Amino acid sequence: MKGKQLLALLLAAVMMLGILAGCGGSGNETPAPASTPDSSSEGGEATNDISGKSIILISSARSYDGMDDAYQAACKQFYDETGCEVTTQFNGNFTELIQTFQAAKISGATYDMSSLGSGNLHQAVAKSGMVMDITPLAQQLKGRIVEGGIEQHTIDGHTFGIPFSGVSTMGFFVNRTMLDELGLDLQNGYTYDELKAVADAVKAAKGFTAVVHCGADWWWWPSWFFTTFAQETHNDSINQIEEWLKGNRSMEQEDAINAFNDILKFFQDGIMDADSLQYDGTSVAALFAQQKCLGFFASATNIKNVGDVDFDVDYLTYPVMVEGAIAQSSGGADEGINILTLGDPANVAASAKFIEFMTRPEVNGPIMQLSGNFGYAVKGVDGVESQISDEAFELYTDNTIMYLDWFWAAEHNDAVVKAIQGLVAQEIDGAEAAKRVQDNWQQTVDENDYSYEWWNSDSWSWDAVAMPYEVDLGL
Amino acid sequence: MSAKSKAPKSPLMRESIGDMLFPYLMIVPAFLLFMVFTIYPFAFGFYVSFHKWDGLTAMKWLGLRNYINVVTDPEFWAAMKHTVIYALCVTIVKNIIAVILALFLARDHLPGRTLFRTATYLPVTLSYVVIGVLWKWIFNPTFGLLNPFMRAIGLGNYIVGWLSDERIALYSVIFVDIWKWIGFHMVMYLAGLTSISKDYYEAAAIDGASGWQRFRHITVPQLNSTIFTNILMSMSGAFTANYAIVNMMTGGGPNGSTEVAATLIVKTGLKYINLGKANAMTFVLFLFTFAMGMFQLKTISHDENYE
Repeated sequence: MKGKQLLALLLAAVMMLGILAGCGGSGNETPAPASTPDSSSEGGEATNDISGKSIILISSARSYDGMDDAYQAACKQFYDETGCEVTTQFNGNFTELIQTFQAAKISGATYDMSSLGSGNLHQAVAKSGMVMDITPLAQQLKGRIVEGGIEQHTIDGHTFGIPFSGVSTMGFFVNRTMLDELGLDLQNGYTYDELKAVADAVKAAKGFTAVVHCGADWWWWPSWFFTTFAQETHNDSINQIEEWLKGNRSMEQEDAINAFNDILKFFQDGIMDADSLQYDGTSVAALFAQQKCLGFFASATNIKNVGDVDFDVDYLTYPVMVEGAIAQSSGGADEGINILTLGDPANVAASAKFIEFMTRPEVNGPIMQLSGNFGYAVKGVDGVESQISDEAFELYTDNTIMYLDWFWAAEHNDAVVKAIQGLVAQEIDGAEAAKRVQDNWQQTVDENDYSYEWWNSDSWSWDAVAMPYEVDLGL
Repeated sequence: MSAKSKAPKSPLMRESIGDMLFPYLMIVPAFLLFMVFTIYPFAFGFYVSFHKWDGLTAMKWLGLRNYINVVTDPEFWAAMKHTVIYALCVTIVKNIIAVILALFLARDHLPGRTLFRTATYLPVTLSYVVIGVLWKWIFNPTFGLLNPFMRAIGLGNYIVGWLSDERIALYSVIFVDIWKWIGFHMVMYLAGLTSISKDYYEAAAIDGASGWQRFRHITVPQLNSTIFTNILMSMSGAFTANYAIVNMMTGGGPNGSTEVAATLIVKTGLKYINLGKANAMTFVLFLFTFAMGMFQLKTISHDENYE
């Protein structure tokens, strides 16, 4: 064969090897078996010394400026204290975390920890067996976490995550200055009729629709149902949703139909309009800051988007729509830190001690306060001062229940979103909305054998996700 | 010399074997890439479509259950309906406007030709993400450019919920897709037009043919291969490559009115973590697109016009 042909073949072979090498695995070690009796810690000596260990924490990309650097500083501090190296891998959106886990499972990558939202945990990750039951750790750390936080990462009495980030609640941002100028008033406990009167007055005086919503960010629509359903069930919504998911009741019952019709009323009465379907969080913040609306319903974290405004802002509850009911908001301590069953069992002690480290207020605060939130899951980490932080914290502690979309599946959530969008467009009524959601639940049961209490199935074993050995955090 | 010893091969024979093997060896890298990134995922996806799998736990054999679930799912057929509407509108409008623009630009001594061609082609170079964000803001009811412009020219009564009205939203997205790709198809038609010999037109003019007759009997037949290619690309792209634009602009809403097959497949696979059903949907879409392509091949492509 001629020289040039040989050279061409050689180059082709090199190219091929390079490409295939790039497609290769992560190079991580094959994970050890889930249970390693030799690393059990009788007496605890085997778990106290984590120096020389190296662990990996994966999660979605951090959303706030400086947070990556703050995590790195904390990891360095942990290394200085224990000799254990922590590597963080923050990539993609929070909705893409499950894909990260899928890729890890297929490729055999060994990640030791993750930080997961409670929704992801409940909907998919817990029942996949990829996160460890860390109930023993939760019992040791419970005193560091705000009331109810650990329970939001607990399924059937087994805790999968320790909340360590911000807390959230939903409420009504209102331009108090505009209300005062127009001689109007709204205070917590206000009724729907009072809101309608205010909205009508604002429309007459200013020419714009009083209330807007970031409807283009479709994930916020179900929050309307969370609050109206809470009132229509006389503040028993969580129990009723669990019964629905178990198949013990229908969504087409009067309370749910009324809850959907309560949402429809906002649009029929002109308090809101269908333009909200096109507004995202940025649009809504701009409308509010430019005083082109009276207010908007959103998570308290949106105060950061609103920025510094030259008018007074209040943060109120949803209106009371059912006599005798409390206008509950939805929220919770969303992001929790978890130990993965994907990792090396010998690293569990190191992961546990890192979780303890990250729940110290003096470590947690400098990282989490960069989000500018009104409150945090770790006690002793103060909320960032803003016009609404005190009101939001009071709303969170006194009047907030867990988001319902942390219970139901992603399919159910989308059905609720679409049903509400149909109500917004006034194309359907509450009965049709309830029927669509019920039909969707039935479809998930028929097609996917959906079961809310998946942990009761024959294929599930709590032992398979148990911690391989005890870890004494020395608290 | 022993009778059993083999006669040495001639230099000519040794060189022939090497020359025969050489081209096959040269395509091995490309073939490997094709196998790894196209054939294997295709085959694995087909395999997964017969299973229940979430990508996290073990696969469970379901047989044809996923395919039955797909063909009996009203949401899937609604998405397919939107996809067909999308494909037809995009294909027809894009190609008609592209031909008209190409005919315009093909004229001799047209001032500003390069500027116009560049401006028309510019959106092709932008990603769907950029385009989606851009047009989402243009359509914004309060801060967008479109509504104030319409009011300024006296068309304020025709303002609608461009992305919030279920009856309009899909066509708004279609409009953006057409806007993005017009330049690409125009350039292809322009290339085709410039390759048609002027002798045909001169002969037709001598015979007294009108402009429309020249277009119908000379331009269209001579452009047949270009038309076929453009329509095939428009159709197949509209069936499969509309995920980004729909996801950026509407997310499939409002109320599922802009949900197309691609967004539903991605949602089913990655959000609902139902990889089996998602792959089954993909193969149903593949069969549909394949059938459309074969239909076009049989009906639009005419070899005799290439002469």
